Amino acid sequence: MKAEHEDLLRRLALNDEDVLASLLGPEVADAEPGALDAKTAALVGLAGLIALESAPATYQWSVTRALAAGASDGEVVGVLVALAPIVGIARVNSAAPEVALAIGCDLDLPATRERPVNSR
Amino acid sequence: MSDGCVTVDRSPPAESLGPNEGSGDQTDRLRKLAETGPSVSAPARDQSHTIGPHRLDEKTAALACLAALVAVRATPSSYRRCVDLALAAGATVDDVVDTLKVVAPSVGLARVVSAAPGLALAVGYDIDAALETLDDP
Amino acid sequence: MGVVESPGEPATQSDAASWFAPTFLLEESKLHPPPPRPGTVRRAALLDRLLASPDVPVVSIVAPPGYGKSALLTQWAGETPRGVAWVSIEREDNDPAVLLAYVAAALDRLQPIDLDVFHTRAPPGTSVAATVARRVAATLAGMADPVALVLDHTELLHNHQCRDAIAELAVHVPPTVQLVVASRGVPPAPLASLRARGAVVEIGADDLAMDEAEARLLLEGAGVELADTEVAELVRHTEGWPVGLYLASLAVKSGSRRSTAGFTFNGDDRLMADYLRTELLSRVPRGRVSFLTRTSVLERMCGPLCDAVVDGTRSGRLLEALEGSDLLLVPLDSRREWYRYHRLFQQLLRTELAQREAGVVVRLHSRAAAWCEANGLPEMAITHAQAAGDADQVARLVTDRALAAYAGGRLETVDRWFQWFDDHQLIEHYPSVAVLGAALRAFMGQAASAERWAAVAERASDGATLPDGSTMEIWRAQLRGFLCRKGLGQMRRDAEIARDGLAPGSQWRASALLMEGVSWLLDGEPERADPILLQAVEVGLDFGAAPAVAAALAERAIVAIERGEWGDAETLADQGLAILRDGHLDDYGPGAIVHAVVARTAAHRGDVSRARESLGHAARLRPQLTYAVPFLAVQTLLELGRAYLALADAAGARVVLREAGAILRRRPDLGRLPREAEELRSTLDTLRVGSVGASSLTTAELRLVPLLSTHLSFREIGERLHVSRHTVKTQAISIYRKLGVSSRSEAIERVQAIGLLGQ
Repeated sequence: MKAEHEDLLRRLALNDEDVLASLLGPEVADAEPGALDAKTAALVGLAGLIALESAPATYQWSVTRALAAGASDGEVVGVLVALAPIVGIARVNSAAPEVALAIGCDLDLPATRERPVNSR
Repeated sequence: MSDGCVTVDRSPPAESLGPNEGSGDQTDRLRKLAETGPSVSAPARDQSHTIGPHRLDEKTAALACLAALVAVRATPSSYRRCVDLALAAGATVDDVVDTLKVVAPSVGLARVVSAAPGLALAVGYDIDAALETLDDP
Repeated sequence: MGVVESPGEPATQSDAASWFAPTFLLEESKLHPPPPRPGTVRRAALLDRLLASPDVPVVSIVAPPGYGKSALLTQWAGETPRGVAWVSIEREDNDPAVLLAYVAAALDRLQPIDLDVFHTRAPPGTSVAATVARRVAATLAGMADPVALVLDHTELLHNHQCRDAIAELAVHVPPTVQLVVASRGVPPAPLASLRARGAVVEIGADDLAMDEAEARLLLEGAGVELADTEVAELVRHTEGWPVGLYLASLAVKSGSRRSTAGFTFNGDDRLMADYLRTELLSRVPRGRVSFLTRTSVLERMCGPLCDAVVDGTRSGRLLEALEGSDLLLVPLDSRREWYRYHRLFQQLLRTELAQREAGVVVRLHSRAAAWCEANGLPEMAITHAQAAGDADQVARLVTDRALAAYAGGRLETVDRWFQWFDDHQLIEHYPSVAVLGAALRAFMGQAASAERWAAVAERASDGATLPDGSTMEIWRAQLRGFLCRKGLGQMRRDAEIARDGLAPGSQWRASALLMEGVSWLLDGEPERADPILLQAVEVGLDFGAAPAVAAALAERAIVAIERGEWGDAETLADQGLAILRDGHLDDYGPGAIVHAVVARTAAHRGDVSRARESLGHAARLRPQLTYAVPFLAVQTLLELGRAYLALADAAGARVVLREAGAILRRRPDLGRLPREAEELRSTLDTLRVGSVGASSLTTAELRLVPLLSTHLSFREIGERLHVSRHTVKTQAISIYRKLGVSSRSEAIERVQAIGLLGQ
């Protein structure tokens, strides 16, 4: 595999914003900015990710963006709470530890210990 | 004219699963469900039908499967089977990786990020290890 | 108010630094190989092997005791064309500041080096491995002639920071340099990866085991002649273990029946102890046996110390006689004043002592402690007093030495002294230790234990006098001021009590004035604050209290900024920076406020690179800023926030604001600081988010950065930080993303480039 592809795969796994942005097609990337302020947009994005059940790196990126846009820790956790009845508690259970880490609380639950990846 | 079915020889796992009082028979079935398909009783060759009959060329078919796996958040072992099919059909590793780029606008970035580690492993690249190791001085 | 005069002539500047950077006495004997003894066999094959591998960066010598590791290294040091810098590790070296000082001294003896770069302060819980290794490697690389750095007895190093630093050095040994590490067990070097690169020569027990020719030489040296078959038998039985061969030679000389049986090292101490008792100690006069066992409680011994311990009179002569006769004693200096036992025998003698006279051990340590204290060896006295369980003496000595050791950067050492009181649940009985420990722990960023100890100090009744001559009452006020748990008004009252009540010669008056001044500043009265802060600077300079001076200058700069006098502010900030530099306080956590103000003034002037550099320096220190000294931490974080804002770095500003907010939630009564935080937050709301870059690294991530810069695996890093591997991986990923890199090596390059690793 070319080194550039290895680099791409790593950056994807990191949820590198620039690389991901470059993958978006024009219909998404060139969209008009909406009426939502940066903070609300970030929190809404986080909600979507929880609903989709995303990778830890993606949750992290999203929470960091929300905090950078001025969200408080309470608001970030509030998204989890608001989503629970809609997406179900299982989704929230799996997202909570990663969100916690992103706002600086290491819950260090057994579930967050390394899950072995199926490999050859 | 072939009906487009691709066959890859795959034998069931040979290792014993260890003593399991009572639940042994279910363990087998579950393991197979986790790694291959539901037809436990079918002979090994038949379990390879991961792609149904189609009229696309083999490579395109396999890459299309791969795209679908990204969309449904498949397990790493699913990626492995699909990637093996694609490579056997003449796709290069770079083709496989490019699939992620192609599907991104459609499935969204979250899916692509989730898929990257499993897909990478399927082509033999351990991202987890790569993020931890240092380059040689 | 004009610009403050520059703080005096260079002489005064160094005085300002003097109190806060006293050195400790280096033990000269550690910097030389043990003096060679006659009759030692020259290990020809091993020496040839070593001398033939001059380009291999690392030499690792690992074998159980008694295999002649030190002897081999001593011979090699004498024959190699390289300059050899030697350090014999001892227990006190379990502190990066101490280890580094010895390495520096050893290198300096070969060729004058810049000793300044070897100062380090490493609060427990941080990691300086990467920076220490880099500094040592850089110095080694700059030396004119090929050098070897020998570290003997590294099995005595258990402090993670020290072991990690040596391991990092092993990976980054410059060309023409060799790092030689000797150990009884696993050496502090990543052997597997070094092996894979062909970067290490390994010598083990099998290599060090003697063959028949060497055995014969050893026996001849001991005055013993045996037939070839007997030598062969001996070598077979002992498996070439040099000490076993030596003991056998003693047995032969004394006509023992076990002459040809010899003794093999099979790791069984009881058998060895039994053998020692029968073959060695039985040949020694009864009184002398007692001397040997009783003095085995000492790590290092001289005649007078032994006299004190055994309550005798002619120990000096006895030591000389013993040294000549067999391997038991190792002289530490060429004047034959100080000795220590060969470690193998020390262990066995101690076992013997425990069996014969267990009840006397405590008394022996007591005597040793008393002698050491009376003879100007307070830190050795602490070790013995602890072993004797004499908490009163430990408390007295620790109270006396802690501030000096802390000032000199030996934070691990100080932490261990304090930890002893916690481990033995003794702190309730020693309020003077509690009050001192609470203050130092607060400044080291150990908020929880600082609070716990402060509570103990509060509960105690008055009594003790602290080393600067002040009473407990006054010191408690000083401590209360630092911790500021009951708000600004109380802090001012406590600062005033301290200011008035501290003993005339106390170096802490400057801190008391600083607190008093800051309390007015935070109450919105800069005009009242400034003269007091100025006084803090002057008093601090008089007494050499560099940290207080630097902080006071930073606070004065903040006052100047509020008046719009940016030029004055920058001058004051620069003066603060100079004080930190001269005092080797680059790694000093509470000095972060100076860097924060430098960043602000630089940003105001449009000097973006200087601002970024200072912000990077402050970021490195942020893990040490906790709610323990809340007014300083919050002020620093808010100043950093303003600096980030000035650079239009909203993400960076938000991160420090969040952390300030976390501290304010614990300590809300800090004058105008909560309001200022709120105002900053509102200002930020008007800014676009922008990209989230390196400035948005959280303090938890900043804590990880120095460890990420080593060769430790994620799991090993997790062990150091007491978190799971998953947490480390997740935080590492976040760091990579914020730095815009995709690999660990790139991340290390980036953090070096933005100054997060220090010089």
